[in-house]
Amino acid sequence: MITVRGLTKRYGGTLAVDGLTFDVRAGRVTGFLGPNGAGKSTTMRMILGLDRPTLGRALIAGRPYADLRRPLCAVGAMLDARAVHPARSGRAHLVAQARSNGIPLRRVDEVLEQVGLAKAARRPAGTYSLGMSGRLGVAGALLGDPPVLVLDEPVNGLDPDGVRWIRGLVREQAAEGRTVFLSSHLMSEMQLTADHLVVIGRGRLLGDTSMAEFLAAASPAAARAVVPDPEERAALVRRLLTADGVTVEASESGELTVEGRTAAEIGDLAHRCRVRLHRLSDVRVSLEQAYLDLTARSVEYTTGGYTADTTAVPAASDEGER
Amino acid sequence: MQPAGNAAASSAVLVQFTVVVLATVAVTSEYATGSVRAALLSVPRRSRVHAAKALVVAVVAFVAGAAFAVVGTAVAWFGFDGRASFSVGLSLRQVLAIGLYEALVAVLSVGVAFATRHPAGALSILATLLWALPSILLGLGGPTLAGLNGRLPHGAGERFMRPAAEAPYGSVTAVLIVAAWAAAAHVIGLYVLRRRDT
Repeated sequence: MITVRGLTKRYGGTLAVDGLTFDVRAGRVTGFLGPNGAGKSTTMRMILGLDRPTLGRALIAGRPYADLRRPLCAVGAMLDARAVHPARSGRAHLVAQARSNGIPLRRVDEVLEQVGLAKAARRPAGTYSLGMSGRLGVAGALLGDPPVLVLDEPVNGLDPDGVRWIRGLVREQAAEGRTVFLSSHLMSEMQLTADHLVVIGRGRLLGDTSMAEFLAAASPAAARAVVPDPEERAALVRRLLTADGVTVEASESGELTVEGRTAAEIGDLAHRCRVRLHRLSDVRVSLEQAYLDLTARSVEYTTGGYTADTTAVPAASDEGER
Repeated sequence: MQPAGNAAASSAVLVQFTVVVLATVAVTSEYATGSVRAALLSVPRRSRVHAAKALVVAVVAFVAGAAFAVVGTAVAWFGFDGRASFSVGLSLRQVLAIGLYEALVAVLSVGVAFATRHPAGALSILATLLWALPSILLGLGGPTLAGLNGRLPHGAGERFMRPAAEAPYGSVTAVLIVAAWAAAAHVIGLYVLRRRDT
């Protein structure tokens, strides 16, 4: 469990992280989303005791990182996969970390095996590809078998196999009851990996919800249905339009796009009217769309300006009056 | 006749350059590659990381300095061919003194390197302190400036590596002066390591 309370980081005149408060709970994958420069990495570095917060605190299992006695056994972190001395072998890099935390050396070979680096373990880390560096970074995070994982852009530079591997690994770790906090700018990947989302923009918290709620909030109920028979289709459309707030668009091929109704509701209705359906599906908004909708409401990164920092556009007029 | 070990002690001014560069790079390379983050994640207590670095580099510098002193004394003894004196006791003392001086210079360099994080900055400061200032002070001459030079690390180091009768203070004081410089740099380096983001 990671606890972040009023975490703030100021660089000169700019607030990189502005009063963040959220929890990262055990047993699920929490995705950390935000545009470049939103303060994701700074927040992670403060959680790991590398950067000093200007205000507020970040605790791991109730304690600041600096107070952890064997930190690698409490938190596994991967920040910048390339941050390894290039002349040192991958194994030597891990051995040094293991020694400093009283981790048995056989664990080093175990994690190297687990991430698929056993063959390259004795080569200098400077000769590793980006993907191999990423695997070494993951090996370092897993070294102490920690209950908490903090991973900054772990899929960066990995090939499709590696991306799938990370996804499986991260889900597995959460299923074992660990706390997983993961940042990524790859929305499709995040949608497949995370259960819960913490979204920030300009250093502020924009959202802290489950993935399902986040997607649901961004998209009203909508579904697509294919009704082969034109008469039945017309009948179904008439019945659908009797309700308020429902709109229907029909394509030439006979596909209906219904907003304001779920696939289940349309299926029930079709059943009652004895209308044959060939296909029926909910229209799901992608995480990318939901995320863009949310961040579009905070102005800076859409206009690049500094004029307004209000969140929702409709709310802006209310606040304008003071 | 001078003791043969004085030759080795005199060239410590050059040998220390190796120690300074080695000790500086031992710290700044961690910042250049980013591996300092792995170190601080493994051992979040800054004082331990800093002390460990200083200790390792000091031991290496002591061994290297002492080995250099042995070789230097031997070369001088043969080179001077009877025009230098040799006694086991004094030579051993000088070998240990040179090792100690290089070890303290290493600690000083580690502190400066942690404070600056970049090799150029660290080496500029160390070159000024260990070479430029002494040359200027001794070059301009006069008892005041020479006395001031005696309070700088290398000036004080000379006093205990190459003991002379006319020294204004004893070997122990000389060691303490160099140790004080090393301690001051260590404290400053630790302060920066604690305060600044990594």
